[in-house]
Amino acid sequence: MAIEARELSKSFRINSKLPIPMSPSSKKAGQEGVSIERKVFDRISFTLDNGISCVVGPNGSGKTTLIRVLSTDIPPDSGSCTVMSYDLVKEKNHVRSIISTMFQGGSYFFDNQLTVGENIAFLSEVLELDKEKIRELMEVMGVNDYIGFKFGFLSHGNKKKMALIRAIALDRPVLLLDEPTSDLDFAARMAVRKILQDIGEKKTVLITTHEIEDIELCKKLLILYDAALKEYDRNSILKLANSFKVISIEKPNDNLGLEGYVLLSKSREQIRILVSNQEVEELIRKLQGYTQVVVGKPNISEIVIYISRLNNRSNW
Amino acid sequence: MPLLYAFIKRRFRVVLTQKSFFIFQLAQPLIWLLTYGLSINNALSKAFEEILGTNFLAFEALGLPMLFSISFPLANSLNMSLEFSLGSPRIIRLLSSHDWRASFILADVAVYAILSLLALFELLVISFPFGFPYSFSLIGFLSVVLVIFLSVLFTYSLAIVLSKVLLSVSSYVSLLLLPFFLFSGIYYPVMYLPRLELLISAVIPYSHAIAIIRYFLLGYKASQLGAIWSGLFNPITQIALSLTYLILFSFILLVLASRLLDKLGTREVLF
Repeated sequence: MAIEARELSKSFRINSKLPIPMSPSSKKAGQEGVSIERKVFDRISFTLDNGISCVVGPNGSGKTTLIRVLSTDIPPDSGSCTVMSYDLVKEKNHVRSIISTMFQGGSYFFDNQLTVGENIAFLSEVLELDKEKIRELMEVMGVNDYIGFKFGFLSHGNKKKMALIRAIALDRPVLLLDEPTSDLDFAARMAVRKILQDIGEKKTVLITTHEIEDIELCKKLLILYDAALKEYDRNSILKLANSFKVISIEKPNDNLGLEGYVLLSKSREQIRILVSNQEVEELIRKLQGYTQVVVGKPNISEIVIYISRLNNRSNW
Repeated sequence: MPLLYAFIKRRFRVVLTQKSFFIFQLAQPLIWLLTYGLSINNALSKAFEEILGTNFLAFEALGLPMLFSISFPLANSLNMSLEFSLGSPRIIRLLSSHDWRASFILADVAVYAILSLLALFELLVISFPFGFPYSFSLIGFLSVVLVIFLSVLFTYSLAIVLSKVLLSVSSYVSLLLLPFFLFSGIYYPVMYLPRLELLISAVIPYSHAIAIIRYFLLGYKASQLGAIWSGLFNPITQIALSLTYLILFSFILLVLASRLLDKLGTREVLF
């Protein structure tokens, strides 16, 4: 096994005067002005082998934290984990020499004051990156024209492309990527999926995602929600996703009669509900006269919310 | 060595993008000389000549590089925390297969030491029209370079160690800069301090650094080594002990800082 985690736990202590939810799905609020512990994941176990594996879950479910823990950026609170037989905590320097990682952060950990070219030159020297490979990937991702730009001037999407290029060009056996396709334009998303597909044959790749299309690349699908991690059959989830639609109702009033539907999110501005394909027409009829209704495909996080509701939230 | 060279190039590039900071730091010696330096020199030169064998301006001018040895790396300490949270050091920490920590610190120290030496050189050049009584020798020059390097290393490593405890730059300024400036004898001869304060001065490594620089460029009387070592030992032993003290402190802090550097990245910077 390339990655083997046993009973891995991570929590954060939050000092705040504001009420903070105890967990992403909990309605309970933390007491004012106290320090509370928020469990991000609690005694999770999993194994990963060569190929692409996906971790999915709604925002705040702990996907990025899991990538940071596996990248040795932060230590787990308890449990054990090995990466290519090296212990994640005790042998972190060995782990660091065999992983490549990308996770979210301001400028994706490039130097904003330097140009793209200067950043590449520096990282090539320090991390021994293959400059030719970088040039090739920059062309594929459509960022080769930005070589003379200060990194801080790049758009968020282009910064992310550069972070992906750095992670891929490092050519390590284990690749840990946090939402590699989000915030990218269509062409870049397709290019990233093609690259991941190619390297997934020889390497262990773990990605987090909200995108249904990314799930199609995965050999293994893990859902992280409510501090628990479970493996699901990829095809069943894809089938489930295809049998639902998301209906967004802008500026809703209180008397829409939506009882019995799966509520995804609700604010004064918008309500989002998950509806089976068979129910869509009926609901549209019900909402006739209500002009601001949009029908779309659900993303994977919305399917996760649906599954958790089916499984009674706390014990899904 | 390639790692060290890569870090030095990076730091120079980053410093050169901070043009206003860079220009201000280099303008400081000139501003100091034309205001505070000239005024106090006119008032106190006779007394200084009699007691220390040199004028006030020359005495002060050799304390000022220490100001830069402290202020350059300290001013960078906030940036450093930001860099480890948001910049390339965060990813190097996670992905480099080499031990990069000592190279990272030494590269930054080299760059700030060069900037401090530049400030010293600038002071010496603008001092010439005033007929400053400096004596130059190769050994003196090399000692000054070494002392500046060690002082920057000390400050920089100390900043890393303290950045694990303190959260804002204002804490550094009030906790470090003021007592260090005041007790190290940058602005005055420490020989007139009361006994207890003289002891504090002797503990601060910067006092030894300034004393060594003054010894090689102005002579023993102006160096204040006699006061720092309470008249014990001969001048050469005092110089050797001061240098050893500085090296020891800098080395201990370098080791501590290298160990803590890995943990700097785990602090999230909130805006």
